[in-house]
Amino acid sequence: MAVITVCVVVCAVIYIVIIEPQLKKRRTSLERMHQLQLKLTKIKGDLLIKDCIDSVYSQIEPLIAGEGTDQQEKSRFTRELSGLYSKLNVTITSTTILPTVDEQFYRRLSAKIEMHGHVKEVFNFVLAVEANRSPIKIEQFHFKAREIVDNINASFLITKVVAKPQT
Amino acid sequence: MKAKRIKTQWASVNLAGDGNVIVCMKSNPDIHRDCIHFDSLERLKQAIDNKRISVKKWAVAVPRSSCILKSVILPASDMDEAAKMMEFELPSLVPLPPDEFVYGCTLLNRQENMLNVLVCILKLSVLEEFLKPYRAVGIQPHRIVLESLAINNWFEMSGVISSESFVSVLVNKLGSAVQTYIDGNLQKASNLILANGDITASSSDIVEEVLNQQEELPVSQKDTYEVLIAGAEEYALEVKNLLSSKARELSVSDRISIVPNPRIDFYEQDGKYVHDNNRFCFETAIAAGLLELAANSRYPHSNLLPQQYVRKHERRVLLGRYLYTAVFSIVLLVLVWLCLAASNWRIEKLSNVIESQIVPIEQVAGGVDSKRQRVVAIRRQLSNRGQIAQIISELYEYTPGAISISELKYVANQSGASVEMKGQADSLSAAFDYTDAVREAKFLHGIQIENAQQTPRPGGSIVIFKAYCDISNSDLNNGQDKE
Repeated sequence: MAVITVCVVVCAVIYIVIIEPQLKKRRTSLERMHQLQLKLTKIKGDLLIKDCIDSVYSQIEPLIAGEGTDQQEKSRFTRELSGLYSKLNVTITSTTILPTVDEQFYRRLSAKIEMHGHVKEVFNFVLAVEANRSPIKIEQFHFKAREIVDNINASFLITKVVAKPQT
Repeated sequence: MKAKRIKTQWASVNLAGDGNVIVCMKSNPDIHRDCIHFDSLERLKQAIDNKRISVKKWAVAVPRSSCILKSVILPASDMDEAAKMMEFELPSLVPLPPDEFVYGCTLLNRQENMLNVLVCILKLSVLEEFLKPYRAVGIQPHRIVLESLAINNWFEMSGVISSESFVSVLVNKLGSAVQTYIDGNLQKASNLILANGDITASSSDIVEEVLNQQEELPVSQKDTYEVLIAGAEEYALEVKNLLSSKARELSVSDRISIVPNPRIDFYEQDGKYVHDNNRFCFETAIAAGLLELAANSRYPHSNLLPQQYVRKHERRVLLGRYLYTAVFSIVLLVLVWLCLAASNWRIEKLSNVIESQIVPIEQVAGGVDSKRQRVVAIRRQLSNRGQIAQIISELYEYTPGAISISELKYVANQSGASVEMKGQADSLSAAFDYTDAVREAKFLHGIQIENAQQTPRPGGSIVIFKAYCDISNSDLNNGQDKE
């Protein structure tokens, strides 16, 4: 029993002192190698589509361009929206600017607009948003009939994508 | 013959009365056995010291005269069991404390459920005295057996035996050993000291002893037993002739054989070996039989080696095994460590190669990823352009007049979009017919009525229903294509 105990202890010590560091180093090295392989594959893939991406990006660059700060961009976004509904006969009950979502290479601005008016005017607002050149999108809407004939309450969640300022 | 170095696992050594020493060993698997005759123990020591002979385990045979032989009947099924029982029988056999003697046992014969066992008892002091000359030359035996068993073994392996029962005669000018075996087991053994040089008188004594011993054979064995004679040629022939003439009336004359003597080389002073089979020595046959007996572990319970030496040897073996295991483990450990280190080195090298490939192209491809992600984001933003207007248009186009929509909810998601609506219908059938009505629609063809409830109103009733429609990305794309 004593011999077995000593053997187990010696094996454990040897494992901890000699084998485990090598295994740990191996795990780290393998992880690093896999990351590098992944990076290399991605870079090679990027190089293959570089021309195509450059060509497409040159077309959409004016749409996404946004050199301003978050506040500046929010202000511009709000102006764009008010420009869309100001010409229509709808009553805006609230406009809420939601927090900006930061993606890796762009920002996503969001706004929630609540309005009521004639159903035709509200639909005109939808058409105006969808026809706008700027990359704004209706993510959600909710129409609810009012007691007045052909009048509805409407709420919209509208987003816009803006490039991050280059550092 | 040129002196050769002999390395062997087992060797037997037998010290003759005249100071000569016989060593038998298996030096080569092709050679059956080599027996070497040394003039003296000093000469053997010289050969061992000069590494001409390297032996791992030695076997020695104790003379019959040093031992007390007793026959004991035990209720045992095999010799393992009998050997264990013997421990309790010994106090009644010898008036000595257990630590003053050693014993070994062999089978005499089997009687139904009983075993008749021959016990060889040897006083420890006698044994120590016997081993002294061997120890003086550095021989520590691993096997000590009764010489009669060695002789029995030698006759058995001589290849001339055709019967299980025989009387063996080993003879030279100094003495003779006459032994009887039944079913291969030693029954009786007697050593005769002969009148030096008088062949006729000596042979007569031997023949008398043979006839005495065959008288004691069971009746069933008397017609089949053999007589085997080995030893100095002139004595062997004389014994055979005399025995043939005397045994004619016993009808054994045609079963008397002379066994060829073992091959023996003489170790000369210059370290060379000289072959001479004419100089037969009684002890050669004992040593040859002893070697086979020890090497093949025959008669395992006959070992007279004291327990203290057995334990010492076992300890040494155990220590050797521990050492071997430790060395093997260390080598294994080093190998494992080396394997891991080599593997790590290889991975590092491969990583460096990949890194060197990345560095020159990293800058070139740097901006592609950001542009790609922005393109994807813009595409997603513009992906449902016109779809909401199309959905509203379909609602106007396909909704029957019997149905009015009071609430409409649209949520864009990863898989497409979902539309929920609440409305009223004139009747339940009109509500459920709504799904048929929109079947031709591009986006809303999958509308499902989830809940419809008829509510009484003044002058009739109305049905309030909820409907749900999932619009998948493929529907959206198809819709756009059709557009």
